[in-house]
Amino acid sequence: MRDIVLSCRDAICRVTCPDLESAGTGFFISSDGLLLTCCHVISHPTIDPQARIRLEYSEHIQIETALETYSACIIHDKNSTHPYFEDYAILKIDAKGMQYLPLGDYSHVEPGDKVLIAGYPFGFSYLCAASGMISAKHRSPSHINTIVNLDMIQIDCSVNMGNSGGPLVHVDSSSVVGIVSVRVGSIERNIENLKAMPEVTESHIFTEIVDALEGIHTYLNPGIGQAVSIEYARKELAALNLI
Amino acid sequence: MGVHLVGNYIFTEPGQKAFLVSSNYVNYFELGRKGVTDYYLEAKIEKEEFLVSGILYDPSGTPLCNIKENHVENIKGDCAFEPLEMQGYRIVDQNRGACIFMLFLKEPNLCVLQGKFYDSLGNLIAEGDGSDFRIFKGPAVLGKSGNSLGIVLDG
Repeated sequence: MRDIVLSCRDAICRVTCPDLESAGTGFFISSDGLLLTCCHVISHPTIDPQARIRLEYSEHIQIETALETYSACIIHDKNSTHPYFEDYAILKIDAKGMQYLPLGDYSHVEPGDKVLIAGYPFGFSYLCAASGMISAKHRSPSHINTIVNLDMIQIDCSVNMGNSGGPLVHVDSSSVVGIVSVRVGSIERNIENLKAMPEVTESHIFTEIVDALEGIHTYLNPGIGQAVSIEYARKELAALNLI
Repeated sequence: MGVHLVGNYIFTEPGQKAFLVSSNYVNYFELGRKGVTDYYLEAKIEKEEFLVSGILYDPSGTPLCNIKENHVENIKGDCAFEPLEMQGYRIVDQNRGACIFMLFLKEPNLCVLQGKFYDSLGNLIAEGDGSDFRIFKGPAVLGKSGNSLGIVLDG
């Protein structure tokens, strides 16, 4: 496992969008700076003055590698909802000689296969790797919008905020078969609701209990990690003649 | 010719997956004919998934976007895509501030289709909101099972 981590390390980067206060992970797929991450890392829905929800992309996407920080531009088709629903983003930086990861084949992986993820959870400035296995492959409503169904890979690795956009590396083939996208079963929203309740905020004991719950949620990771099949990004890369 | 349909279950039953076209529950809905009419909308259920495809125009007959299996493609400058919470979206004609098309899951087994459907000449083909659905110009099909068609409206 150490060899795989070391071979992947330099191909993985931190993705930050200061204008959206968003951060996640990305990975290079070519030596000239083409990279993938999650669409939700570089965009978010906003509400305009007419109370309409629009999808807004970041205008200041930054890619942090071990050596340098770059500005990235969006390459995928913004006039399509594929990136939004399928939660991938294709970016490009102006660089050469980048380490990159090969794309694997989603159809060749099965539950029980060993996998590796790496990224920047909790906003850590250093790369964190985690290993596990594929728990399931399934087709389910997109976590972004349930009107679309997606091919997903469920894993038992520790997935946390900041891991989004990172590669799901299939150990046997040493290739990327998914993009880490979501942790389901999280109690984050329950904790937010509790924190907003006057009964909690006005009580020292309840505040302590909710803070403890938040600590448990953050560091013991109750939830299940999922990655979106790499095939969605591959399809657009092929349509753009990038692979 | 106007057609007013209310409260029918066409090739589907209560509790099964269905599209809600006005107040009619259908397992299949087709407006226009692919490759024949310039406008086209198809709503089908395959492998327990709602899949909607079509071509949308604005009232002047200008193409706004394509819908391909619920994905919006080729969004033109005058057309805005708006997510609806996490269960659907609508497409708005920005010039007129009007909702051209809305697709959303009212329930896990119920997908709602609403909107104003125009052809490339700007003719209103069909119009549906939460309470009514009127088809002004066929062809159209409501409900399908294998080779059997439900209600068929000719052009």
